[in-house]
Formats: sequence, structure tokens, C-alpha cells
Amino acid sequence: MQQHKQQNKKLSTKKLTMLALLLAIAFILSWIEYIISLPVIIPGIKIGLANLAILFTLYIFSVKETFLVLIGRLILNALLFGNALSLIYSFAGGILSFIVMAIFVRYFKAHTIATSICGGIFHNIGQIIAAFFVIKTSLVWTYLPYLIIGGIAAGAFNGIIVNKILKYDDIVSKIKCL
Amino acid sequence: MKKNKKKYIFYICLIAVIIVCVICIIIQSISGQVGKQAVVKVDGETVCIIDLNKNQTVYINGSNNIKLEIICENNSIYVNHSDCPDKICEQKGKISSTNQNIICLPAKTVIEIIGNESSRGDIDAAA
Repeated sequence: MQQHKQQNKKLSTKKLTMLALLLAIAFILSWIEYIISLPVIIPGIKIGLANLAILFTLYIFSVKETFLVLIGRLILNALLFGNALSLIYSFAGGILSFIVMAIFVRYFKAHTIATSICGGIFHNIGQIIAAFFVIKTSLVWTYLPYLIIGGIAAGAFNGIIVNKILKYDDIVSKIKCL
Repeated sequence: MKKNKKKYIFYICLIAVIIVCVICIIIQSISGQVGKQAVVKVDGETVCIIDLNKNQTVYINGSNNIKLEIICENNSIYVNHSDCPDKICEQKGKISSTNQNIICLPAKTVIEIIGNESSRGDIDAAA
């Protein structure tokens, strides 16, 4: 199966449909987060529910295919909820956290919770780096400790949920075979 | 066995990161002094300096045509209204000591409190 997957580099229609469905799920989750402003202790902290779908895709499909879903989600989000500036932040955070999560899943074969926590931390680090270059002040770094702790909490929450979803073996194996 | 070892390394790193963050937060909250002036910067350039002693309302034009209404009263300063979509600067609330700041990302605006270091500049200006 694995070999067959590597030989067949083109996306099958079934797989493409599945990826599109996952993209839709990621998009809906970020929409839900956008309309329900969750009560947060630290201003600016979000749970990042859309990462649920990205993480799930990363565990089931390849890195390349997950990257497609991620880029689709970032562009759609920026078009509907944001502007050009928020696109910079979400790209910086999204891509940095994706790289870290991909390394954790592929090289360390890490648990979902560990992957999700690191993804959460690096999402915030990426956004801080972007903010540093956009508003040109070193003061943004003072937010980093708060954001890292928030990222750990949000990442743990997402990781637990994905772990629960991945336990439904029959459904997961069906999706994998597409 | 090997998996357990990796798990422990991860937990130790995680706890270390949390401890470092908590120490940073504690140092930040201890190190503050009572501020005297607030510096408002838009896009890295100082736009105005507000004296915290006077009660006043200042309107700032940030980047992307976002207007900020900054109110200064009782030696503290806060953003009362902002046109930005995320409103994080409003939620941040009142700030008054040198370790605190308000950042509005969409407007590229930073409000920074300065304390005794600024007195040097005042003397220069007076001379």
C-alpha cells in the first residue's frame, strides 16, 4: 500500500474530494471560532480549532497533501474574514507551525498531543516574528511568554480531540485507502 | 521503552518551557516602575508623547486608516475605541507602569510607557 502510494504521485479523484472536504471542515471550524468569540483570559489568544483538521490530515495523508489543505484554508480565511495584513500573520504562523508539526509527525512519529502542542507554540512564535517585522518594535517579544503558555493549552486541547478522532479505526482506515 | 524515553524528554522540555515563560512573566510584572509619559508610535515612528499627569483624550490615525481614541486619566492610559476588527487593544485595558504596553496590530500602533529615563530628554529640551 505504502509503495503503491509513493509510485502514484497524482492525486486520485477520491483523495482530492476527501482533501476538499477536510478543507471545508477546517474552514467551518475557523468560521465557528470567528463568530463565537470564546471567553479568553489573555487578549489575542485563540484555540485555533482549524488546526484540528490540519492535524488530522497530517496523520492520515502525506505532508504535501496537507500543505495543499493548509494553503487553501489560509487563503480562504484571508479572503472572507481578514485583509492583506492578517494574511501575513496567518501565513507566518500557519506555515511555521505546519513545518514543525510535519517534522514531529514524520521524523519523530510523535503523539498527536505532543505534535499539537509544538504546533501551537510555533504558530504563536511565527505570528510574533511577523508582527516584529510589520510594526517594527521589539516590544512584541514581551507578549511571547503569555502566547507560548496559551499555545500549549490550546495545542493540548486540539491534540486530545484529534487523538480521540483517530481512535475510530474503521473510519480512519477507510479514509487512508482512498 | 524507547518510546517512553522520548515521551519523558518531551515532558521535561515542555515543563522547562513553561517554567521559563512563568519566570519571564514574573520578572516583567515585578520590574515595572510608575510611568510618567506615554509614547505613541505608528509604524515604528513616534507620533506623539502624552503626559500621564494630564487627563486628556488623544485621537491617533494609525496605519490602514484606523483611528484610535486614546484616553489618559488618573495617571493611566487606555484605548477607548479603535476601528480595528480584533479589538485586542481595547481589551488590554488601562496601563500605567513602564513594563506595560498596548499594541494594535492592524493599525501598527504601539503605546509604550516611559518613566525616569525620559527626564533626561526633558532637561535637554528645556535647556
